[in-house]
Order: sequence, then structure tokens, then C-alpha cells
Amino acid sequence: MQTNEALLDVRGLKTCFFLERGTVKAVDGIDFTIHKGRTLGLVGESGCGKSVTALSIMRLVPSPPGKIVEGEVNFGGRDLLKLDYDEIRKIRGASIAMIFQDPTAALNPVFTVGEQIAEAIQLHQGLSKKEAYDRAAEMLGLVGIPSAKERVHDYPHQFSGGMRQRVMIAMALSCRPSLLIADEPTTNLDVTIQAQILELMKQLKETFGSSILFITHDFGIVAEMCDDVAVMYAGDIVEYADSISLFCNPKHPYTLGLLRCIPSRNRGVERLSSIRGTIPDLISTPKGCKFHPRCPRAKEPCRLEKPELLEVEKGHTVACNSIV
Amino acid sequence: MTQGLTKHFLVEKSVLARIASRLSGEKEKVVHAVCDADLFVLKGETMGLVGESGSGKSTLGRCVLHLIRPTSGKVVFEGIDLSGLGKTPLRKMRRKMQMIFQDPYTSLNPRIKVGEIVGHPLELHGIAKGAKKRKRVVELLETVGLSQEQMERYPHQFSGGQKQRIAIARALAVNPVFMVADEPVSALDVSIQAQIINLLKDLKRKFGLTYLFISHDLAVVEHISDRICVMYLGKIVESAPTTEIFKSPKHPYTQGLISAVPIADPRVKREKTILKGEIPSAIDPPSGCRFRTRCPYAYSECTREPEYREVGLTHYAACHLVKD
Repeated sequence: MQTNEALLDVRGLKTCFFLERGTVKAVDGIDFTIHKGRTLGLVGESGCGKSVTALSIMRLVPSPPGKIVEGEVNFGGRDLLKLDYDEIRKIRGASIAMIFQDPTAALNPVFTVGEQIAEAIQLHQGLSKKEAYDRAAEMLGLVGIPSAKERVHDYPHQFSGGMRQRVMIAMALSCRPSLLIADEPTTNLDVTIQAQILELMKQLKETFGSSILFITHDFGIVAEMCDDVAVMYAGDIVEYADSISLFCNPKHPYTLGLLRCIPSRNRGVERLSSIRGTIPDLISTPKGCKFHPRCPRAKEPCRLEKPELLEVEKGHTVACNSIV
Repeated sequence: MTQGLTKHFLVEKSVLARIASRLSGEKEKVVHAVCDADLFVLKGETMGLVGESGSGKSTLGRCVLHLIRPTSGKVVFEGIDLSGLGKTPLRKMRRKMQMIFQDPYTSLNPRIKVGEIVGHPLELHGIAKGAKKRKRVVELLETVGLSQEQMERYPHQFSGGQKQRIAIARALAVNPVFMVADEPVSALDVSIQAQIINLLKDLKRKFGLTYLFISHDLAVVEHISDRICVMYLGKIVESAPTTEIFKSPKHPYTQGLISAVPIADPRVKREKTILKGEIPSAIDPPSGCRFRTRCPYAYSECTREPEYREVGLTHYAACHLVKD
């Protein structure tokens, strides 16, 4: 990876959900670093733990039944997991902001978008109500909402899906956060609208210099948006590299398998490769390497020992027993 | 192009879903879901129907099977006009044409065991009962990669991908010749998508099926289809053989759509056409060419609706700018 300054450093993060039928190990001990000015893609299929990772960083894990049981989330010289409620509130929305797949999670239907954006600005930046409102209108304009000065007085339901996503981005960036966490922000959008939002995010990243943690299941988006990539499977990071290395030289059998499934990457191939089997139940994951029951390369050690993330090439780490 | 029976569908001006705001005394609103669509599907081919929200593709799919009766126009299947058929003859025709829906979670009755779900069409159409039915159900489940034991389970005990297999088994039960698949893999993880796509291709080969494959995912459609039809706001704007439409898309919307699909390879650099604006409402579509409000090349002529005509060998498009 870069010798850039680290902005966010996660060590040994473990988050579980304590349910009646057992404990779900949603995030099972992960390490990663987001460097200043770079975008890290956290990619994986359903249940891999990518969203829970984001919620853990933001201390938004629903508790009960969830709980961050171990680990450190180092940001700005402090471990976010050790801060008290007031301290976290100061950081959330200001230094670290989040956008979601569904804007209704972030947009309150009974307040105008202007009020909601201005509230965050007033709270975190100490501006007056009028100044905050002006800044809110400015932000709406920046994210490409036409007639921003008028629309600042509209309610969320008066915007279309794509527009609501822009409003959410405006709200997130209004306090100039150094880290933006985007959890599947374009999954619910039509593909031509998705293209607009991704382009917007790229431009805003340039303008504001934020780092981004981009969570998605779509490798195409990862290729377009991310500088670095971490592939997750059943609560673990199985491979971690810069984008070019990952796409050109994937090493983990799961990554290899996934990339071979993707139609856009395998144009002209008669039969798409697929990974046999299904994602394990996170309450009772397989012993040893969690991927071994589905792995074409599984050997005896894979059934017994959970592999660690090891650097196999400069800046490229993999958790696999079959790679020396 | 395959020889043999031509399945000819001509659907015109299907106006659906009357949204009545009678309480507020407003004039009755009408959603122009599909307008003047002419579609040919040849026996033995897979026709891909692609579009975003409001394109009308799902509605068209349902009209083709007469699950929804078109407002006007006709659907001709194997030489027979479906609109002329009474209830009983239509039901008989239905044996030949089946549908797979997008959401495997809601298309299977949760209160009925899987064996019964798959077996029901056999009884309904008087094909098999009792032991014969049971035998056929086992056969069908095995054809889609499931096992006999799973007959006694309920849908909720299966994963999304498995549920879709059950839905496919059910559709195959009556030995159809034609299947409409409406977003059959959109709700599935990428590795499972690949499994189901492969299954659909295998079944097509094995049973000589013809497919109408509806999806918003251009990459998936490219992989499975022989020909592709692109829809925008109720209109078919372009259709051509798959390789042709990607090599040489003629309609600006098709170009924008192809451009918008993220490619899972960071080394690929390409000219992108990012379409501006939102998708207009199907209640009040733009006059003339419906795409003109977002088209980068719109000019004065576009206030007049363009003709859908042949612009290349079996390549059709509706755009004033496209010359033969």
C-alpha cells in the first residue's frame, strides 16, 4: 500500500449479534487501513460483514442484539471504540459521515432537507442559522440539484430516488468530513442514475479531499471508484490489495471465483464459472478456513487452520493456506 | 437465426394501471406503461428485454403471457391471437408458456411444501396425479439441481438461489416451450446468479426452450441473449442481435446505457456518455421522442415521434438521427 498517512486504522475488529438461536459472528477479526485521500472498497456478497463493519466504525451497531466485542478503530489519534457517547456524536457527521443504500434511513421525512443539512452544520461548525442555510443551499447545488435555493425548502418525499441520494451526499459532505463511508449508495438506483452519482462522488472527492470507504457487492463499481480493495467472506477479509493488483492478479480462490462469475468481465465466455455451494451460516461457520467447503484448492490444513492475512507481494495480502 | 415457427408478438398501446385520484377530484391519471410495442421472438432464441425503471419491460412481459390483458394491440403466439381466446382455451395455451418472477421470496407460497408447489401445475393441467405426479416432481427437482428430500420442506428453509430453482422447476412442470423470465437473478448474489444463468442455459439446450429474458442488468442480458430489445419509458427504442447492439448501438439511450454499466476491470478506459437528468414519469411522458429530455443530441425534429424502423440487418431503432 502507499506510504501515505493513515486516516483510519482498524485492528482486530470483531462484532457479533447475540440471537436466540446462537451468536452470529458478523465481523470476525479484521484489520485494514484507509489512507488519506484514497478510496478503499470493501467488497463481498450478502452476509460477508461489510455493512456491519461500517456500522461498527460509526458505533451504529444495533445493540442489542449486536455488540462490538473486540478491536480498535483508530482515527485522528484516538480509538473510536473507547470514546463515550458525546465524543462519538461530535465525530459522527463531522469528521466521519455515512451515506446509505436507502436514503430514508438518513432523511427525516418531517423536516425539510434544508433544515436537516443546516442542523448538522450548525451543530458541528457553529455557524448561525442563516449561514448554515446558505451553506445547505450551496451544498445542494454542488451535488447537482437544480434550483437549489428553492429546493432547500422541500421535504425528502418531494425528491426522486436519485435526487434523495444526492441530498444524502450533500448532508454527509456539508461538514467537510475527512472520511465518507458509503454503504451500497447506488444499489437501489437505475444504472444511468448510478453512473451520475458515481461521477458526482468522484468529483466531490477531488473537491473536498475526503477519503472514502466504499461498500459494495459490485466489482464493476469497485474497479471504477476504488484505489484499494478488501474482499470479505463470512466476516473475514480474505484478500487486500490495491485495485490494479487485485483485478489483474487476484490470489484468493474466493476472489478468483467471484471474478470469474461476473458477466461484464467474462464477455464472450460460453459458460460463466460459478462457485459451488453457498455462503455458510454465520452462527456455525466451517472449522479452519471458512471458505474451504467451496474451495477447489482445499487441502487438509484448510480444514483445520484458519489462515492469516499474509503479504504475498508488496502491498498485496491474502488469507489462504494454499498460497505460500 | 433459427428456422421454424415464428412466435410473433404485436402489442400496441397498452395503457395500464389507472391511478385514480377520485377522492381529490383530480382528473384520472393514466400510466402509459407500454406504448406501441412490436416484438418478435423466434423459436429457440433468447430475446433479452432491457430497460430501467418505468421502461415497461415487466408489463410487456406480463402482457405477452396475458397475465395482464393489453389495452389494445395483440399478442400472437404460434400463430394464434391470444386476445381472441376464452378462459379455457387460454389456460390450455398457458401450458406452453410459463413465467419466472424476480422475487423468489414472494413468488412461492410460504404455506405450501416445495413438492406441492412444483406438483400443483401438474394437477391443475390434468397432466399427472398421485404417484405419477410425485415421480415427475422428483425428476424436476433433480433437473434444477435440488434433491428428493427437499420436497418436504417449506420455501423459507431455502436460500434465494434455491428458491429460484424451485420456481424454475415449477415453470418446467408443464413442459412449456416458452418462458418469460422477469429479472430472475436480480435478487441474487453474483456467485449464485452465475449458477442460475448457467442452469437456464442448460435447460434451454436440453428442452429446446425459447426465452424472453427481462432485466435491467445489461451485462447479464448480454451473456444470455441472442437478441436484445431496449426499452425506454414504454417504448422499444432499439433492437438488434446481441453482438451488433454492443458493437454498434444506434440509439443515444442505448449508448448511454451501455456506457453506464461499470466494468470490473480498472485498466479499461473508455469514452463515457453520462446521461443527464432523471427518468421522466410514465404518467406524463415527454411529447414526441420520449428520450429527448435527456438526449445529448436532441434537436428540433425530436418533438415529433421518431419511427421505429430497420437501420441495419435485423437492427431496428427509433431515432431521427439514425440514418439507414
